[in-house]
Amino acid sequence: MKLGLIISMVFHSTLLAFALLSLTTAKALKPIEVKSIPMEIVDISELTKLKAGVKKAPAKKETKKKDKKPIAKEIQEKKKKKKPAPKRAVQPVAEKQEPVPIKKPEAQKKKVEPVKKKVAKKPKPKPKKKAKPKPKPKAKIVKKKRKKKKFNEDKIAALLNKVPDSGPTSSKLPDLPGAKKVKGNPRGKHLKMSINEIDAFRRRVSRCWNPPVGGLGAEELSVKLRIKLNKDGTLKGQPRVLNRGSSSFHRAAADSAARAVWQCQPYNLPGAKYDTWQDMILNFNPRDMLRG
Amino acid sequence: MAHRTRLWENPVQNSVIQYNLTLFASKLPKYFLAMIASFVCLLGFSSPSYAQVEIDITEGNVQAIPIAISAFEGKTFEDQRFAQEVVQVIQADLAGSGLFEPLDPLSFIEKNASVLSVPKFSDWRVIKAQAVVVGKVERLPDRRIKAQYRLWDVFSGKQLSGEQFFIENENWRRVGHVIADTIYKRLTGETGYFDTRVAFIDETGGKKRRIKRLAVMDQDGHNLRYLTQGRHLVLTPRFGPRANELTFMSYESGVPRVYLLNLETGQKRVVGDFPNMTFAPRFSPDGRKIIMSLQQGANANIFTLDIGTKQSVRLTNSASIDTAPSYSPDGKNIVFESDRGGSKQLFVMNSNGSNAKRISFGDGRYSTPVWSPRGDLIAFTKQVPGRFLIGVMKPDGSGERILTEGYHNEGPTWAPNGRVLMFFRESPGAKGGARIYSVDLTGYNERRVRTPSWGSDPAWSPRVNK
Repeated sequence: MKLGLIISMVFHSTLLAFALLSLTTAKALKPIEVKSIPMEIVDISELTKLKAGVKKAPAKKETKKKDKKPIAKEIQEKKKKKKPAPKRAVQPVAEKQEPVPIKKPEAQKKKVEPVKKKVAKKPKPKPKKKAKPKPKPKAKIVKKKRKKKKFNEDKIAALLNKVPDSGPTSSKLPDLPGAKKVKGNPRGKHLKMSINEIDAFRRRVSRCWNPPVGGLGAEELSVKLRIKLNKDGTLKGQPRVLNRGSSSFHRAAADSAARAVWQCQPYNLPGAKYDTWQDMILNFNPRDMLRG
Repeated sequence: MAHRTRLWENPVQNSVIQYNLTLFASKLPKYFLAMIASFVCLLGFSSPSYAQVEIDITEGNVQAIPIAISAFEGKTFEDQRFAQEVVQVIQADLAGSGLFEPLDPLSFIEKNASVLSVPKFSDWRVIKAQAVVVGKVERLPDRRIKAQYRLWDVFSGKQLSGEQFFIENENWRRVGHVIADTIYKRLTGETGYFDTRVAFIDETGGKKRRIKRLAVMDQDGHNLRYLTQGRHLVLTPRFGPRANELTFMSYESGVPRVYLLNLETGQKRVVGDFPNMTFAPRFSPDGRKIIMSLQQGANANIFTLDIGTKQSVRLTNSASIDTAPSYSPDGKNIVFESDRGGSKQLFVMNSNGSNAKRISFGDGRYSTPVWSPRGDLIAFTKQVPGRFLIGVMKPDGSGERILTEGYHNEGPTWAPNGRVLMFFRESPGAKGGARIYSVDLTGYNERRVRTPSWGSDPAWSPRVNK
């Protein structure tokens, strides 16, 4: 018995010791982080239809480069601006390490301010002039910064270009001499309400619509209504019924549709796309209600 | 109703349309060229326009329409009091339909809305009214009433309807019913049913000694009038298409017979000279014939009897009980119940008795079919173990829908617009009795119809003034 007990104790203690040692060193099982990816359903027409812009602008290629460059630059910024530019990164490393002294921040501050102004007006020529009186390394940094700033702007532009909703840029972009031009047609005005926006609008109108469902058939109750909206989302003038119907059902349905539109205003629609929703056609048909 | 005019419709829009049309027709070539020119100009100069957004709204929100019925004007104090009663009739009619929600007059901001001026719509929008009714009632020296009203759309500020009526003093409630009918029709698109009457069997006394009298009242329970004294059992009254005649079954002569009663003259007579019991009568849509069942031994067959020529025609000839016939509104078909297949089911045949087809195939027994005045549905009583249901189905038997159920429901009858049904429901027990109820086609708006005591076998009249 005693021997057995001893053996058992020894065996268990070794097992416990082993477990303590081995399990503590074992890597903790970490759950894989699943990052949510923001997604929007984009209509193919966003890519195929004419957007506002300049015909000659090499839009597609540039935007691709823009996409890549800014990311590289962000990484550089994180590394405390060690590299001047993504392609020539290897050479400037030594130069950058030298100008670390205390004076630099002041110089940087001074330079940073003009850079902003310059970038806004004329990015390339001005910074060079201002950079001259200051020591070389600083000048280099300034150049780098300028480039970075410039790139950042490009990044914003690129981001904006990705978003199909960036309507107003069409009028602003050609006015800026330094700004990169977006591929498109000067007359192109293709903008579209997103599916989410349409759906939100539809839900709002549905909530206010009280159709006379006692009609003989849903066909008599279908109403095609044209509405015009002000920028603040309120109705501009009376809604106009586009389809004709002789029956009293149609007349009642048309009135109920108009009442719904009046009742639910103002509508919260994206101001940037005013041109797309200022004049809309609404097809009222209670077919989904009559199914059940 | 003596006089009814539509002075109040806005004539401006129509005249404009007319004007444009005539102009266009007379100078067609010139305008055609101008159109082409303007089209070319548009093509040349306009910048590419945006594709117009088109959005489908396929679902709505079914709820009662909030409506404000403003106090009607009256010249004298008495007129004002009378006007108030008319407003109450309108309110009760609209609320009873379940499709309107008359707003509380205490919430009105514009208290003295006049029929001669445009309402202050912003005030009515605040209380969430979608439509507002203003009106005026005046008693004329010739014992008539002059009533005017206007219905306004609060959101668009448009006048939807406006009319003027002249009516005899004693029929003052009809002013309210007629106005309610026009409002109902304008806002729902369907014909109103408020200016109608209901014939029914008034029942008094204990369950074993029940006295049954034939009675007629307005659809809201007012103006009750008894047509028989209760000495004999009467059943199944049915209105004629002009609402001035009734046909019903009575035991007056000892044997159950079908009778015809003129409501204006009070004249009553037996329909046809049949040897046996006749029952379940109903008028043909043109009012010239009465269709009914004639007992033949243990069986019953369907006959028609021409009221003018008194000629009878046999439509069915089967060894079963064929009864409860009802014409389709076009008079081409007849629906009836028959137990020829073993249990009571519904059949549809041509009006000459040919081509009878069974249309009910659900579980249970079907009886008392009634064809809707619209023609799109047939209402029926369905009996399943322990319950009686009132339902509707399409004339081909499809789309069966149950609207209400209870211990003992029976005898549906259609409102003239084919949207609402009345039926009677009997409560169980020694103290139980029959009550008349109405239910709309959605099945949600079920209401008890006001009767002085127990009531059964309702029959809804057609519209009094079509």
